[in-house]
Amino acid sequence: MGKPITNIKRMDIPEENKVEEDVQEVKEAVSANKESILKGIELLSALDEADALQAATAITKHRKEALGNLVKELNKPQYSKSVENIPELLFLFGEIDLDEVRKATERLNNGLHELQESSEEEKTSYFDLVKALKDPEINRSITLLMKFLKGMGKT
Amino acid sequence: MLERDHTVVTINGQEYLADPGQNLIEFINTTGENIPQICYNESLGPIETCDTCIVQVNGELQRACGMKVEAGMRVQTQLPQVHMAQKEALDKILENHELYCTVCDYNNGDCEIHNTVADFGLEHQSRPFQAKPYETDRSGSFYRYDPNQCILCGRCVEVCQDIEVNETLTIDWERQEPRVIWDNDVPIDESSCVNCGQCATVCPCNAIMEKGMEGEAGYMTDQEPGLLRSMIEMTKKVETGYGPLFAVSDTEASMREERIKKTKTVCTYCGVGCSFDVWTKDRKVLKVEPNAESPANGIATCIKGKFGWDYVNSDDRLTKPLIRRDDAFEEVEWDEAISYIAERFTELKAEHGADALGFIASSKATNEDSYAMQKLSRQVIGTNNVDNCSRYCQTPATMGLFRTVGYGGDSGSIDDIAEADLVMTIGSNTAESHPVLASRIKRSHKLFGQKLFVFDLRKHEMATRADHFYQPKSGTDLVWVSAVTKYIIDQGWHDQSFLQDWVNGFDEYYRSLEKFTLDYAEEMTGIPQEELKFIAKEITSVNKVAICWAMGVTQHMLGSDTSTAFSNLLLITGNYGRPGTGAYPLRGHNNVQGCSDFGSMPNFYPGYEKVTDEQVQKRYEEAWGVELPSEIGMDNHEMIKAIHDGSLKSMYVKGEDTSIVDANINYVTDAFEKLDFFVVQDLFLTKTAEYADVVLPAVASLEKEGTFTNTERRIQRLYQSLEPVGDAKGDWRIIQMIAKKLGFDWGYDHPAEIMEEAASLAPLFAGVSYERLKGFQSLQWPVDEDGTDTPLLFKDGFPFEDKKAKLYPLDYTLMYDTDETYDLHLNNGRLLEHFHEGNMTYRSPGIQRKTPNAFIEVSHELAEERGIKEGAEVKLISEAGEATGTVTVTERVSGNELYLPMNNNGKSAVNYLTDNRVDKDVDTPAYKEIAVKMEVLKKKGKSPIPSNNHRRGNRQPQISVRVEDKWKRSDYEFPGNKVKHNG
Repeated sequence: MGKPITNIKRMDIPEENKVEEDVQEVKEAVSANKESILKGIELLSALDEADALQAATAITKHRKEALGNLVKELNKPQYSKSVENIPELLFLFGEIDLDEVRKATERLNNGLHELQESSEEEKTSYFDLVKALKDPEINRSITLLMKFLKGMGKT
Repeated sequence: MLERDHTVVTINGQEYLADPGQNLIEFINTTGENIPQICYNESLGPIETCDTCIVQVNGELQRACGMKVEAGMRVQTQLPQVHMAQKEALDKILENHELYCTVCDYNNGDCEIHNTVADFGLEHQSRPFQAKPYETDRSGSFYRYDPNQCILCGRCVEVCQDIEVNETLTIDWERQEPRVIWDNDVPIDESSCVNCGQCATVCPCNAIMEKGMEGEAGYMTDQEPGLLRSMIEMTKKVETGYGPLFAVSDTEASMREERIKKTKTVCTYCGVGCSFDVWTKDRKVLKVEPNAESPANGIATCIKGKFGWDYVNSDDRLTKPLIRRDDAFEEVEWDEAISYIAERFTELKAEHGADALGFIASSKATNEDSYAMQKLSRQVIGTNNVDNCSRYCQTPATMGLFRTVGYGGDSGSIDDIAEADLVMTIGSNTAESHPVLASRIKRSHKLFGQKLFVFDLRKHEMATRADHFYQPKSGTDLVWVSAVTKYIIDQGWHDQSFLQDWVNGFDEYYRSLEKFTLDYAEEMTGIPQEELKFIAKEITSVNKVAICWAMGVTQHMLGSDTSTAFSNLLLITGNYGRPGTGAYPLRGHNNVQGCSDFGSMPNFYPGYEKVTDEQVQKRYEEAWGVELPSEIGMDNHEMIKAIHDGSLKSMYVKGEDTSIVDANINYVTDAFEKLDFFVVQDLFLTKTAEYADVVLPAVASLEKEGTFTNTERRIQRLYQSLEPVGDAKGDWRIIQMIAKKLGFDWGYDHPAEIMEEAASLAPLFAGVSYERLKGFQSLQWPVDEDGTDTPLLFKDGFPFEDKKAKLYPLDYTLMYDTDETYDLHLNNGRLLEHFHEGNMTYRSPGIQRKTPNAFIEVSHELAEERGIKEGAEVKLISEAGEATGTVTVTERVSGNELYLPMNNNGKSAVNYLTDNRVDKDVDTPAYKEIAVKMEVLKKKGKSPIPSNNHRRGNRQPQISVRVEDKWKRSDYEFPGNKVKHNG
């Protein structure tokens, strides 16, 4: 025996009930994931001790501005080269022959060692130079340097 | 001839057997050889625009997709020059497409450019990306086009021209910078685009993309346009070379899988049964992604299936059960609502008997929901008063087929319709009511020489495309069909051996045709005799005829008989049981077929077993543990009448806005007011629900699991992609709660269990199980216990005792006409972009802004006669009631015929005008037999069709993308030649 009606009385769910339901749901989730939650708390307190938590919160809240600023700044011409260099450097690392570098570094270290031991007053005359070429160690260094200069000149 | 044996093709030195004439790329893809291919897509066929699939064939560099397999062909896919040519083609593409994948919403693991470049191992862009001088077109409701990302592969054009066949998109190869254009270069929103969304589906990248994806799919894509641009620049700087770019973007793409859910579902907007994945993020629908494996539709969709899902998140959704108290509905908890219903059902049953209660299932709900409803009615309450809304549309067709061929469903699949030599559509506005199926016909007609004859009052899209278009007088289809059939027999053109082997009742039937002479037919239908002879000749001169019909036939007083006449014609000409032939009553709603299949009918148990059959009754009594009623129940038309008579006291209606969609609104709503107890279950507080005592909140299809059966008798699974809104529940879950309260604990946990029960009881579905319907798999009934299904019916005879079909004699009397007072014929039907009364689609802002209202179509002649113009306001008055609306003057209707789309629930609702006339056999309302008079309220006004409605567009038909025009350009050089020149 109904005339058409459109009026709906919404159910008043008291706020406390809603909160209670939500809390119950969270409780169950906590209980089901106890181990993970405890570990999570540990991580949080570690982050907090390091003052990282606040920083992370701030940056997350302001992520759009932060990203905007960063990207805009990095897109300025003065950074252009640096930004492009990031991947280039990566490739560069890939091409360097580390064995060779190691040998060269060893030699460089020896040189530095000698340098430390020498006194500042010591002087070298032209003749000393010519004489020194006969010293096998110095001769070797000069030869290496000359080879390096030659290699570097190649394109 | 075993030609295949001779078609040996050598690929990279290894021999393979191929099908002669097979496309070479399709063949290479079956051998496990991997070659790049961006424009090629199996669902579209070769387009030949991208040049990336170049291989060496018999020493020449060729596009693999442009070649057909020939015997002795030698193909090389790995030679250096092949690789160079492919690289050149890819470089060319990357000049047109900026790779900034990490901040691109299309970076979801399925970007075909991304994947092709990655697979190819291309490391660097050889030539810089070049922007085009065009802005992104975001004028449309649902998708946008970014010319700068467009690689001009032409897939969108191919799909628009030759798959959807709406013929809106082309590529203008003439201009300096070619781009895709809409109509004759207008914004998307102002074009003839019907928003089927298939261009966005097939676009291999982010050039045409669903707006729902924008800023939603990616983790870093929701940025201000300026910032997004900066990030694109930045991405390109940091990710130099494609290796690092892909490493980062692939990681981001897989992170997206964490939050974007892809769920297979089945569309609810018509009987075609399109299936697709719906991409959701929380409750947001990002996009609908069809799948080449979708059995009914492949990659196709229409505007409603692709974009019409906003209603799911409408604020108007019901979230709690409502009980009428005084003059308002009060929200209550489920316990209270269910107890109340159980109590009232029990009281009414005790007082008036079980037959004082009636149940109406929904043809939009699942098979399992239908099964549960009829089980509640029969087992729990004890009445066969259960029906569904297919009564309003297609029951006459089912009846016509039962009488003649024994199964009330489409004879074959949509593939068979596409394969027919001649398709006749009768009383079907196919392009708007079954758009995806219509596209299959449009494609076969456009590309493969299929003949199309359209019979309709109204010159709709299919009529304009037809080879021959006939406008028989309303309600006279039975006459011309029978006259054509008689003429065929008289000429001796009937299929005598088929009739001999497979058909009973020829003599009696032939005698019944006596009155259907060509003279009589011409007089009754208005189709000239010469034309009738021509039709007869055409039908018998081809090998395969398929007849599709819809509400223009069934919603008449002689709907069942007319459907029967079609089936008779098909039997006489031997057009059953072979691929490409048969009868196709196009089902209106997604589950019109299934809702009846699963028993929500007053005379049938699931699988069309009669309630009057004792053996069947016994089977169900044993299974359900009760005694069952053996009398046929009331159909929904009879129920409304019984309310007026006082014998039906209670109704339970689910998923059906009966007060809008049943004929004669005033009569129906008067009945609702008289009910003692009325339960309505729906998504919204519908017009019908306003009369209810209890309203139960149901869930949308995206929020539940189950199965639907489409017009092809194809059962398909839908999976749950969203959580129910509020406390809403699935239909069968609600029904189960009521049953339990009334003492029957069904104990179903999952719809699979309901299907299992139905399959164990109804032989028609013996082998149906959820396991066999996994993912995109489907089954077309009848399904044997071993899971063998039946895509094509009647291959081995008809389901009668001697396996022979029956010719069914018919008579004809004209029962409806206009008269002096009610001088106009009011036709009605669907609009492409709205569904039914509009409870769902009017809640889509994107659809609403293009088609805000239904309208009344008036012919030029009538407009002139009545002195009205576009935008006039008129009142239509029938014997049953009146409706008002706004006029559009159009060539789609002629003379004294009006057309009012049914998609309106306000004052223009067509059912204010319809009356109680019904089909004489099955009580389907004769919605299509309304004579009205017209009062002019206002002579002209604002057109009801907005300027951005597709009906105002300007189609640009052509075949495919006209790649030859690209090749003719002076700046084009075939990469194969280029490689040769460069040595």
